Amino acid sequence: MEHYEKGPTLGEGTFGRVFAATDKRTGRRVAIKKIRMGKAKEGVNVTAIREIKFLRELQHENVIELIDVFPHKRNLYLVYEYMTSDLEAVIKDKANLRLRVGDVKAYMRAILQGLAACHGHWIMHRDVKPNNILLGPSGQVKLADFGAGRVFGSPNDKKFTTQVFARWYRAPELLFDSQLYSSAVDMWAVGCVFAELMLRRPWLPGNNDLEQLSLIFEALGTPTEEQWPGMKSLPTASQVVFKPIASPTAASLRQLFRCGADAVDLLQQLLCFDPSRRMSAEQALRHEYFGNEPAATPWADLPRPAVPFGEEGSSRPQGGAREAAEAGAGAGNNGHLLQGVRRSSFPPEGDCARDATGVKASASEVRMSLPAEMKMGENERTPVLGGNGHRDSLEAGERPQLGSADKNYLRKRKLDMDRAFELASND
Amino acid sequence: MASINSWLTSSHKTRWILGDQELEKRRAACYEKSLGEIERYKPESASTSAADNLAVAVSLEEQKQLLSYYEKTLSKICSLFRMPRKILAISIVYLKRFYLKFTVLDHEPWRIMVTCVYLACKVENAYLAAEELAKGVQQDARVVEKIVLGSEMTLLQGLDFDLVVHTPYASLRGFLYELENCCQFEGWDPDRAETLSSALRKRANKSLDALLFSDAPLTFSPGILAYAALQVAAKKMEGEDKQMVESFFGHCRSKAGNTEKLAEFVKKVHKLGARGSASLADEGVLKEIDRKVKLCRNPVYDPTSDQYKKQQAEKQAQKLRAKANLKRSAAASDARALGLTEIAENPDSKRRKSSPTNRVVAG
Ligand SMILES: Nc1ncnc2c1ncn2[C@@H]1O[C@H](COP(=O)(O)OP(=O)(O)OP(=O)(O)O)[C@@H](O)[C@H]1O
Ligand SMILES: [Mg+2]
Repeated sequence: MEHYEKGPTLGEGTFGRVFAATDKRTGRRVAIKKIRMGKAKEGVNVTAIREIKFLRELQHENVIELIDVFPHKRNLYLVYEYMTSDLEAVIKDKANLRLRVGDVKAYMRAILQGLAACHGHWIMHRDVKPNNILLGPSGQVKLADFGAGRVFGSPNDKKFTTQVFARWYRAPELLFDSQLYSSAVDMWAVGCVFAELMLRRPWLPGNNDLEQLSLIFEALGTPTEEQWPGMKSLPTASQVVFKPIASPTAASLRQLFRCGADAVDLLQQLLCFDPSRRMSAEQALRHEYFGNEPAATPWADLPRPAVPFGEEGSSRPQGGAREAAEAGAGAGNNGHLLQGVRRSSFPPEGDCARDATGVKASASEVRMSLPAEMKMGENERTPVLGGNGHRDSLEAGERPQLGSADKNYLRKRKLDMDRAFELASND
Repeated sequence: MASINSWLTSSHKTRWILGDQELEKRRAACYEKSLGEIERYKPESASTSAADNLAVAVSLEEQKQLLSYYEKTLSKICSLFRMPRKILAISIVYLKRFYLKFTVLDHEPWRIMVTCVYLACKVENAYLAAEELAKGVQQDARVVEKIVLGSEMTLLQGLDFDLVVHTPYASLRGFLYELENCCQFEGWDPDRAETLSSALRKRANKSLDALLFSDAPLTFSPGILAYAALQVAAKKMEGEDKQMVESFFGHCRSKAGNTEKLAEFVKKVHKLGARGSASLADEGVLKEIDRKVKLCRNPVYDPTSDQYKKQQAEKQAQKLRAKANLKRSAAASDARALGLTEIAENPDSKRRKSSPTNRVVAG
């Protein structure tokens, strides 16, 4: 801490306070997140570990820079570049900020570039939403909050937790409890952010997972077998029968979003039901939307919220609770969706309990954050002592059954290695 | 659009692939530093025993032997828990990296080793509670928990918070996948290709395991290690298998650009592999080294030492001083704001400032 001059508090996160500071050695303004040492029993907080792990690998102009990490008195401090606001504030400040087509385009391009960088590193962000997209003092746009991030694509992957993303940004495969998903989940969330930028309010503010699905189908049509071949085999997809709803026409979407055909096309490709056909970040950046007029606004000219971080006062509602209330999509609004029988509880397990509290919370809570269950036990079972020892277990893990996605991954991984190989041998 | 190559900008490639001379240099520098600190902070009461102390300090060579031993121990722990190879590889690399920053005189290797396993599991989403880990190392759960949680931050700092380690096992899979493609291209049926690749995998994995116990993970990229391991594995091949593998290697070499350099690297890796599979020092020798580690520790990092307590006190005092200074400058600016050009030092506040400092240092 001796290198930093502490300034005012900028915000409060789940794991601790963020305050402004100045690096005394360089005079650079920074934001420092103080992470409390959590429950003594689990040591350094896993979310913090993930954030550090990923941000140490990612250097990109659209990804927040982690400048330094240091412990100080039983706390861990993460030093970030200083940002002044986030996209949520921009979206909400309808009274003062007008968003032109070029502005939306600029935000979208920045977000996609940031995600392309993550996905190129085989990292899924898993918490894409407006308040995790930070805005810099001169208009820069950067992805932040990698605490839910995870490496994907290894043939050894078994199970990922589906309790990721704030609900409104959760892809349908997650809502159907698919445990083997990929970077496409981030792309769905980008689609939701895109819609939100154009509408200036969350497009699909579900109050529970079931309602979320019904909102999605209502807005985009109930997916047919053809649109989403794998859907039926997802864990909870067979538990509810959704009323067939036709896909919206491009014209109706254009009317809703008051935007061009190119924007609607991009939106539809980002919100494609079938994750394997959903547009990737790289593909999206090549979409004609970005080539067409009007051009993306240079980031220095992007609108800035009048009130920077730390000066909102306590009254600024965060995370869209207000919109949820406004949209009036109360929990009782599911009438249209359950045409058939509800065969069993949906989603299964303890999910109902969570949703019950979720409904309650959304009325009073100030923000949407990750579900509480998003914890560390994901994927590999906790190893248990015993068994036949090393050789056996390693051998067992040796021959993974490869799906086609895995093969694709291997090929790409190999290409990465080829380059490494080439470079190393030319050093 | 240019595809982004995660390896090239990775922390692993940019900060943790070092030349063998660089490794030795770093180790030697840390060692010198540790010895210097032991010498400097020897207990004032017994200057002679400090000299004895230095005489029993573990040597750099002994450190190497000891760390090899702990790497093997680490692999036993991982096998006990049936952890994937990847976690073993990552924990070993953590241990190696840590001891490029510190010596066994600074931090006891047993503690760091256990903490490496704990951290690697956490980083790889295979969380293992310290309590569980205790069962694996046959120690009291509370003791292990205390050690692991107490050393976690130290380890993180030693690693410079770089937590992603690319293992050669992933690269090997990539190579083998490509080999299978080559086979199919030549008209082999898939089963045959798979038999070949799995035979190679088994052997190559063994080589990679051996390489883990050498400096190889610190000196070469995982791609090179996998390639070298594959070459060893291919030596036993005969007939058409041999031809196939040879032509695949040719294909790899043509991609590598500088084939001479590649050959030289592979030779080096093979040497390292031989070292990695060398057997440990005698148990008696190791016990003796372990005893020495306990006898002579760098007091700077030893919470039980007088020096450690003294340093903590100094830090505390410094902080108080800084606080006092801040107050003083605040008072000064207040005074200036009030139009008092010359600030008469308030004797009262001065006394308040200096006394705690003295007290703490003396204490
Ligand atoms: N780099 C930064 N510069 C300026 N302010 C920041 C920066 N990072 C975070 N903040 C502020 O601190 C607040 C808390 O951030 P943090 O990422 O810890 O939590 P969060 O994302 O708001 O909540 P959650 O942990 O639930 O996702 C943010 O809302 C923002 O106001
Ligand atoms: Mg956030």
